Amino acid sequence: SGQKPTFHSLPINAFARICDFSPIKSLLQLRLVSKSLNEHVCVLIKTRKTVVKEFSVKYASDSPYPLKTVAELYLCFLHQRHAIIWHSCLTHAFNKIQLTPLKFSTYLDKNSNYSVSRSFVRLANFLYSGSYNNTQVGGIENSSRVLEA
Amino acid sequence: RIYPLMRVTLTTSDGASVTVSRQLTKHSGFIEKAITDMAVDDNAVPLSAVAVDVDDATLKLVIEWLTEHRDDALPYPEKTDEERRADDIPAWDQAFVQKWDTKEDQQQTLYAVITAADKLDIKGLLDMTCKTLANKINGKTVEEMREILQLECDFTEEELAEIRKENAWCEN
Repeated sequence: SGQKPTFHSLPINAFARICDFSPIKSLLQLRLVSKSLNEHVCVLIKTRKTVVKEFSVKYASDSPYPLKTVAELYLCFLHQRHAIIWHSCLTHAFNKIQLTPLKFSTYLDKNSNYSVSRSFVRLANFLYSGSYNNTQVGGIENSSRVLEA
Repeated sequence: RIYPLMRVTLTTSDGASVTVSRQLTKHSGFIEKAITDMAVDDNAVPLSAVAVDVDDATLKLVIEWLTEHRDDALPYPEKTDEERRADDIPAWDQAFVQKWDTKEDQQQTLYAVITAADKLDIKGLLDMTCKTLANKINGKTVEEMREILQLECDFTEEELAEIRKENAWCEN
């Protein structure tokens, strides 16, 4: 092609490989570099299995929700650009006494202006009930449809 | 496995051609597939050249790496997410990269070799070069990452604040 190669000209497969060799903290830092990098990294983080474990380790205990679920929810919302909702809830959960799904819902209703909060509450309740499997964490919209089915 | 076809001619994107041992090309999924697709009779000579979308200068580096790694085990051992690490690049590979990965070059050669390794499906070389780039980025500040990757920040302050909040769980 004659054009000089740049970071942006790397094939997506190679970019994924580079991210494979980066710890989660560096990946999250990469999100702040540029908009296009943020887009790519968010997609890759979601498919990275160890993030679930890393997230769980950070929040060692005390969560009223299964840690694996907490981590997967974070990834789900991160991919959907709504991670900030989950972060608010998580912060609240760790600052206060353990939350039940009902308290959790109430908190969300009072503290979130996001239209997706209802879907999130349903998803949280669904996950908390234990009748959950990995194939259904594909995003808020998909999860909502599963719940409403 | 025995490779009756002992040498393969590769033609580059800039019109050069180079003949290499099959012992080297067996590490390239792309070249091996191309040979298979040509339905080459093991005894047929000569073989039509395999066209590779890589320039001559980059291909020379690829061949140098393949020559050093000609006896590496195949298939390439894939590692799980948890097994992957970037600090295990062999000494020869580190010296090999240092020869041509210069600041003045702005990593263009590294990007070219990464792209070539991906196109030619040489997993060992792709891993090594991606580890090299990951090692440049890992542990750096956002500003340093932008400098290394030569990318401009196109976020607003509000957008940056939102992402920082989403990332907060991973902070110390």
